[in-house]
Amino acid sequence: MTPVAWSEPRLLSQRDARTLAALAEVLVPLDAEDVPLGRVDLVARIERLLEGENRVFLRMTRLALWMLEYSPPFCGEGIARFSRLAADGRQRCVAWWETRPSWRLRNIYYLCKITVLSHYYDDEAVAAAVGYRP
Amino acid sequence: MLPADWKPSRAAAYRADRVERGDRLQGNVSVQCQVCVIGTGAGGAVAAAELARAGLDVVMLEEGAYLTGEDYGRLSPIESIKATYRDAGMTFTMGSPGILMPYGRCVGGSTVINSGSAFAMSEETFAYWKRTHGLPGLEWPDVARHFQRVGRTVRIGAVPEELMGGNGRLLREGAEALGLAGEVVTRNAHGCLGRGRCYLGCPENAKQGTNLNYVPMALEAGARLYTHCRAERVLSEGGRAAGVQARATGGGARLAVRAGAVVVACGAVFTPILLSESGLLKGNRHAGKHLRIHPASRVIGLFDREIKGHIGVPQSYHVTGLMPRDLVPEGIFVPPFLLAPAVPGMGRGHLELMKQYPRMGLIGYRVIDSGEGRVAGTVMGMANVKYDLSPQDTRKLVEAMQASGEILFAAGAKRVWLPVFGRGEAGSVDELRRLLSRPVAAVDIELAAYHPHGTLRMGIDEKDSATRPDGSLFGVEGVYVADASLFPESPIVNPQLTVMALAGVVAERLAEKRGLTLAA
Ligand SMILES: Cc1cc2nc3c(=O)[nH]c(=O)nc-3n(C[C@H](O)[C@H](O)[C@H](O)COP(=O)(O)OP(=O)(O)OC[C@H]3O[C@@H](n4cnc5c(N)ncnc54)[C@H](O)[C@@H]3O)c2cc1C
Ligand code: SF4
Repeated sequence: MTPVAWSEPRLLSQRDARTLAALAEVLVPLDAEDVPLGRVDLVARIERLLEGENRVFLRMTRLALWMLEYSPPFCGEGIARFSRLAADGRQRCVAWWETRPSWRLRNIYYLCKITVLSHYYDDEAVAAAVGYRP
Repeated sequence: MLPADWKPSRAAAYRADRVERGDRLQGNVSVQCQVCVIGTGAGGAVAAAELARAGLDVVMLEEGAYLTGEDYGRLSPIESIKATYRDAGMTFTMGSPGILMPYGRCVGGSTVINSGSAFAMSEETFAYWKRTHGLPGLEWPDVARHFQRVGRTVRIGAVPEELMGGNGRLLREGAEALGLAGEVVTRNAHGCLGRGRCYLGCPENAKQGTNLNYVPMALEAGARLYTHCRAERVLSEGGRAAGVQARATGGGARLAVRAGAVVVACGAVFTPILLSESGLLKGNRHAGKHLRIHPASRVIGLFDREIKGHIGVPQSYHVTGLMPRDLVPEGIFVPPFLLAPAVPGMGRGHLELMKQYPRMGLIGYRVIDSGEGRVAGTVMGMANVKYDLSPQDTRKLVEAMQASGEILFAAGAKRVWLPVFGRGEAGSVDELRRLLSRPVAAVDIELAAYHPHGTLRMGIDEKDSATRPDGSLFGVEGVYVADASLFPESPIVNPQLTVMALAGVVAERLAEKRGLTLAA
């Protein structure tokens, strides 16, 4: 399945969108044949959630994405940004975040992870494909 | 009462002449009434309906929108959350660890988004409240009468066997195999089809949130309702309530309500914030303190048979056998968007597990907390709720986690995923016990809480409490509290009915002061 082109970000920045895309590629197989993950417009969905809400949530989301984007030097992946790493580098980086002993650091990453996964699986067709048929 | 041909689907359009949207007001507005009730959740709606039916002129203020099943049915899960939860459900306590604590923000408040478990507090628990906090003038027969009154209105009944759903059944099977007592949950749902979306707003108008009963009853009795209106100040003059200053959400028109009595029912977090911002809690040493939340978490089990937990009532069975140890495992189930972040792995591995969604079983558990937090105003427009999980409550959570994991294994689970950092998965009871035998740090558990209470607890006097047992606030006349803030201790059971019954008591006492009695 060809991933859809995401909407132009309005609340998030282009850099945020690139970080999200790079993280999404690690967390969900966008080319899965039987589950239409690739058709989800992640940026549009996230912005629909954040629109009109307290700006703190937008700022928190953007800050968490920024920290992920600039984390590779701390993960031992050199000075590249997260969105510019090769797929295996990004996976190692995500594994680094997931295993931080500090719960505050882990929570920064969880915010990014929950943002990505919950919006993919909120899509009706994706949810139905994994067996959610209320 | 409501007319015989009353249909809940008409609720949002009912008595439209008495409902106004604050965000559509043309310019500032002043109104007058005898009692202004702030908040239309479990407490506010009951108080407003009882007072209006007793003959008082009531104005209700509600920050959220008036929606019913037809609206929720049209929305995706995340859109529903945005429409009915405060800050789209992204509300956390600040402390160690941060705990997800969502609140309803719509007509009906948290009763619209709750799971519908409906239990009256026991006489024994009430006796404990009396022993520890006195509560002069509040006796069990009064409270029991209000439980009955509320129970009739919100139509409580046990979940029928055919609606229990696979997840509730597996909890029962596992508990029975371990010899643990449990029971089918009683709920305020009528005509439930087991659509499993209770916490997103019931699309069938089956779950009896107060938007479908008490708010229409209040309107029928002549009350007026302003939605999309946030109360900003409770006004007082010479030590007496004088009214409420409110503002349309989005910062539009101002609404001034002149009233001789004000009933505040914004929930256990937002009532102390509003009263404090109104300057009415000065010198009130207990206000905002003693916050209890019933901290909660979950375990997920993977089965080699289909459970289809998303079909049927999501919270249909609970284990009572562990209540003496303050632990309450409850069957819960959630759609994939909430489950996905809790499922381990990434990429294809994660997807392969997600495809096992129909084979997953979920047990939630809450504990009766002995630790306390407090509400400390707002930070950047969000409630500043300080709550550190105490070591004792952490141990209770681990105990509940282990018991719930064992129940899943007893029901046939092949694997169990734990909500604890570094202790991800157990393949057997032995492994589960081994994983949890080492101490678990509070900050390593994924937590949520749905039952904040106790922040303006009632009692004998200001030395012990913030309010009197008739709901009146110490220090200012004519200001009443009628929500979960009033609880002096945990009700042990899920709280919505206790909130409603106490709100009924508060309304009755207020009516009596005006020489009125509650309608039959
Ligand atoms: C997800 C979830 C599941 C739950 N499940 C259960 C369950 O199964 N069984 C059970 O017994 N309990 C359950 N509960 C708890 C139960 O719903 C609450 O204890 C109960 O609704 C609390 O009543 P309340 O009147 O104190 O507050 P709420 O019902 O939350 O009502 C407060 C109202 O005040 C409004 N408000 C707040 N501030 C202002 C302001 N400044 N101006 C105007 N309006 C304002 C809010 O918008 C809201 O409508 C659950 C709660 C949640 C969140
Ligand atoms: S299970 Fe479904 S029909 Fe029943 S109360 Fe919940 S949302 Fe409504």
